[in-house]
Amino acid sequence: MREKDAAAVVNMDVQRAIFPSHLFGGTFMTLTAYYQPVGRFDATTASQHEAALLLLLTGDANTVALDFSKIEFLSSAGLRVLLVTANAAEKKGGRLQLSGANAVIREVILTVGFDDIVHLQD
Amino acid sequence: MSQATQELSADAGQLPAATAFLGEFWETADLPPALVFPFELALEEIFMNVVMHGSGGGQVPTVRLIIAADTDSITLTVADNGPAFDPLSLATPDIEADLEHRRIGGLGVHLVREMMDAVSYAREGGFNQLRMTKNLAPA
Repeated sequence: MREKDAAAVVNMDVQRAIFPSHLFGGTFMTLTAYYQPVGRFDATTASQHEAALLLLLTGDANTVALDFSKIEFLSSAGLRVLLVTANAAEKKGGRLQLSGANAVIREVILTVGFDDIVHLQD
Repeated sequence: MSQATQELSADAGQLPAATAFLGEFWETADLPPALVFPFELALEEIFMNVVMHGSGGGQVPTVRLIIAADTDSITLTVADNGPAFDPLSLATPDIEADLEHRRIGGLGVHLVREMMDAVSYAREGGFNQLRMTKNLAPA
């Protein structure tokens, strides 16, 4: 891993606020992990975001609230991370929820039909 | 008409330099900021395609970027001397498949097609040449 990439990790504002939000018949619960990446979600940062997101899902969390309000750029390398994360969450009975994306980022998500996959919110 | 050219090796580590080249041209040519996004996206998608698929012959290809703007349009050409390959020949991905059946292959080229007004491929002088154009609205 190049040092340039490592800097992206430092810039990443990762917050973990894991809390139970729903109870289903007292058996399952949704535990949501909050993740807010900053800057680019592309080929230069994808592997770090992927590792961080999958790490969040290795614990008790089964749902990721992905806050894209500080993301300026998204490419297919980033879309791949969204797909991998959504699959991992779904396997645990949860889901990926993406919010806060600006108009251009929303257009990318809609163009590839990923709005359902990331449960796109405003 | 303004134009700039840059040559890079098809190495993932060169992507930030390619992006910076585009950004500098945008400032120098005083182009609409809103249009930098589709070109930056197209550049990354096509450059990374060459990085991932262009080294099959055992050699890392050279990528030549040519950006040109006039009053009517902006055109980015990404050329590489890797094995002949037309990315536009890729099948259109199924963008309505459910989560389990979603595949990432082809999404980058799909995005490029959707965001550009014209995209064309040619193999010339041992180089793959992908030309991507966006028309400018009359001032």
